[in-house]
Amino acid sequence: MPAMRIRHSSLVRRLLVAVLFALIIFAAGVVPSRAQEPAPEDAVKAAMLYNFVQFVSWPDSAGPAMEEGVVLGILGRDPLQEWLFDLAAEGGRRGSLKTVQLESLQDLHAQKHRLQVLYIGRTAQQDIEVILQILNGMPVLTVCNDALFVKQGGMMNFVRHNSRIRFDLNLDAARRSHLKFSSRLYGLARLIVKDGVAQEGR
Amino acid sequence: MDLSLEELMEVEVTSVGRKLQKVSETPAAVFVIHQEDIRRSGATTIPEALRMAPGLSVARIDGSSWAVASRGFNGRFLNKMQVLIDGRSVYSPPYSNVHWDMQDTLLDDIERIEVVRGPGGTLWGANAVNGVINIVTKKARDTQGTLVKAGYGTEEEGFAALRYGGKAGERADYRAFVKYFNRGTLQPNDYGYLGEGEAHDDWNAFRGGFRLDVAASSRDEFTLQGQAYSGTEGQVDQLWLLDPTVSYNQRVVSDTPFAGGFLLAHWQRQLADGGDLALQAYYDHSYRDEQALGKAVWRVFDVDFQHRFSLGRRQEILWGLGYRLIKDEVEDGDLVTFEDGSANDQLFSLFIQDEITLIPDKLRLILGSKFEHNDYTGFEYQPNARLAWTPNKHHTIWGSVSRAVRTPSRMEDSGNVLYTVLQPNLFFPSPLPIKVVIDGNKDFDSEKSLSYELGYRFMPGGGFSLDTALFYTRYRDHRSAEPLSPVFDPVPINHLLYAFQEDNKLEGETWGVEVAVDWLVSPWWRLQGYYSLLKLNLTPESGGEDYISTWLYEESSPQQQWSLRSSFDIGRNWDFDLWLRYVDSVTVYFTEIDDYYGLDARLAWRPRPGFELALVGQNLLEDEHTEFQAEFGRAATVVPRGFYGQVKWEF
Repeated sequence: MPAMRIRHSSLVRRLLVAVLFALIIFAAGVVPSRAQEPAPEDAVKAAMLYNFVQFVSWPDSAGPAMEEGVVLGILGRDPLQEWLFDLAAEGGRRGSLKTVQLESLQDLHAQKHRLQVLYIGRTAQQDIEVILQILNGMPVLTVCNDALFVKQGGMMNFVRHNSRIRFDLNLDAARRSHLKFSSRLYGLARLIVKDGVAQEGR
Repeated sequence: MDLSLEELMEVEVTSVGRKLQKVSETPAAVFVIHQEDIRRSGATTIPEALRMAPGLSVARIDGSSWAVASRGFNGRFLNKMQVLIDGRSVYSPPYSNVHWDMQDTLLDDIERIEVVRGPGGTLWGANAVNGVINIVTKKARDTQGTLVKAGYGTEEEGFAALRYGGKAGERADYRAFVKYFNRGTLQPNDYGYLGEGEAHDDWNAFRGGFRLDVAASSRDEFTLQGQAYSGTEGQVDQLWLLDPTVSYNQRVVSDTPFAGGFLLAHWQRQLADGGDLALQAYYDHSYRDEQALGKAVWRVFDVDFQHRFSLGRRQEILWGLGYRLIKDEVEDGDLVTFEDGSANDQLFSLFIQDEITLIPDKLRLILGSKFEHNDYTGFEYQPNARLAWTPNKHHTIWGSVSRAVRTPSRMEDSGNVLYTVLQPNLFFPSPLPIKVVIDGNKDFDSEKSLSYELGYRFMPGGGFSLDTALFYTRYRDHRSAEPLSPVFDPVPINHLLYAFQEDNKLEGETWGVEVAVDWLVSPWWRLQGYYSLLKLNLTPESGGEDYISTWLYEESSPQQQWSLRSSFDIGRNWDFDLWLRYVDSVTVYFTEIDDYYGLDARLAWRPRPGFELALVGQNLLEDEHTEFQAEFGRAATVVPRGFYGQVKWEF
């Protein structure tokens, strides 16, 4: 039915013109916002971990190599590590950060003096108590993906809330290890453990 | 990702697993429809949302039935695509199709729909010949709080949904939802000599469900989910009667009640070596009673086990075992009769896949096969080989060779279909009316296919990506209807009985190309488009005499389709979306249906966080258009222009 097709195409052409016209008008008056594809959860967490480091200050005693950059230990296996490795390799802009893969608790024990940050991977989460004992009092920022980590004495954990990533802080644990969090972090945290009490953040 | 901490906290995330499984590196033709796409499309059903995927043809037959196919052979009883919702197969064993009217959930709870074109038999088993649709719902932790939604429009004559999500302990999250919709009739089709009538295809359904996720320990995740639903849909049945006092070609209005429910448990454990184990079991109960097809109840019990582990530094093995028990009870309908009133079918399966890193970060080879045993054709194997080359992060080139099978359905084994009655008239001067039936065949074998695919993805950055796939598939032993000698039959009146018997004497080939483009033109404007081309040839194998199926299936999927979606963010609080698509003409049941353009538009406003008002216009270009024809049983209706408004509040 050729008659039908002709009707189609002229309609469509008119419509396309109208749409383009509308787009131009809209384009003139738009205020940018962030239209983004959902990002892989682990990529966002890795990027956040990278960012945290800027808001933490270590005591002067924290490792001899601080000037050369922060050393991040990754204990156990975790999907996050691939993103962390990538970020470390890109490195640069925010100062260098070195990643070290720790294979076992023995390995952690041997290398603990090198570390400024320890990320406890998924397969190591069963040993959280032992890990915290090994690092007891040492100036190492402990980070984990387990939402109950700060309540167990860890310093920071990620927590997912309705497809966004938040984090919790334990200021008591940080103080025991002589680490200081910037007040900017307080403002963003979901849950803050202070003086033995867990309080909602902002 | 050069974002500040505050910005990172605003980024929406998905749990699309490990980095190695990024869609852009998958050696298969995959397209992902995200929640954001569904929301912005204005779609209110799953099949309508599937129109966003390149290479799929989605045609609405009437108010409540759809024909959805990947790479050809479209029809209401399309049998070459596997559809899973959270790992639960919704392919219907009695009729070998997907009843799209029965598959639904709260669309806001869908995290993503992965559409795989091409064979997926190695992982998903039989009947995943031309595609797999994987619908994944959000975890309960991502649906915390209350959601209230309601809307009304021209076709949507009222819908409402309520969902609540909360915590059941420190490591447990849950949600529960109820939803209801009432959809009005579409436009009646003009059947010429039969005159106009009402469309009678209004429908409504009520559905409720829950999901509980428990992180029992840092290594174990346990999920329990369930759903129950019930609904009724109207339709005009296309029936054939051998009664000279009335027209042989009868259109009868009837209601089809449908109901069902499922319960699914899933357990996943992370292993210390980086691998994981998963165990899943479900029970699914479905019921429908359709005038033409008959009444059917089918229950599926399925248990699946999967294990993934690394073998050395370069190999990752994924293997699994499965068992499925399908019990059905069927009663004859006006057009479909079954020789056995009930059946118990069992399916045993085993698969193994090895992903080998030939050159780290550059070249991967995937080898694997599924081995199955079913009660109709016995042992089946479905191997594939895939190679992915990622020279750098901007390019991925992949290729694959796969074998897939489509196993017989109950209807093909022991069902009979009254296909048509040809009435003598001026143009058909037969002395007697002719009744055409298609008989099932106990010896009906599996259809086999061999596919070759080649794909290229180009991701130059800057928010642009291009995804191209070429395919060529050969089919052997495809279902045919072989004519038997006509017989004179005096009951109920004198007529000739022309019987065809289902057999495997067709061969065919399809080839085509699919291109998808995604372009974030600016932070507030995104364009997504696709183009697909499909060619299909079917011919009788030696000894075959079926020249009719060729007419029925060669052009039932459109040869060309394209789509362009534009998503505008106007400030933070307004969305403006336009979606233009073109669908080529198709020929279904000897009837040519014109090509058409569809245009949908959506405007949404969020006056405050969590509160959204949306206005949606669908098929704006024409008053009405036809998308498909009745194959058998159901008369097609005409899709009109439609509008609806919706209020959504999350708190």
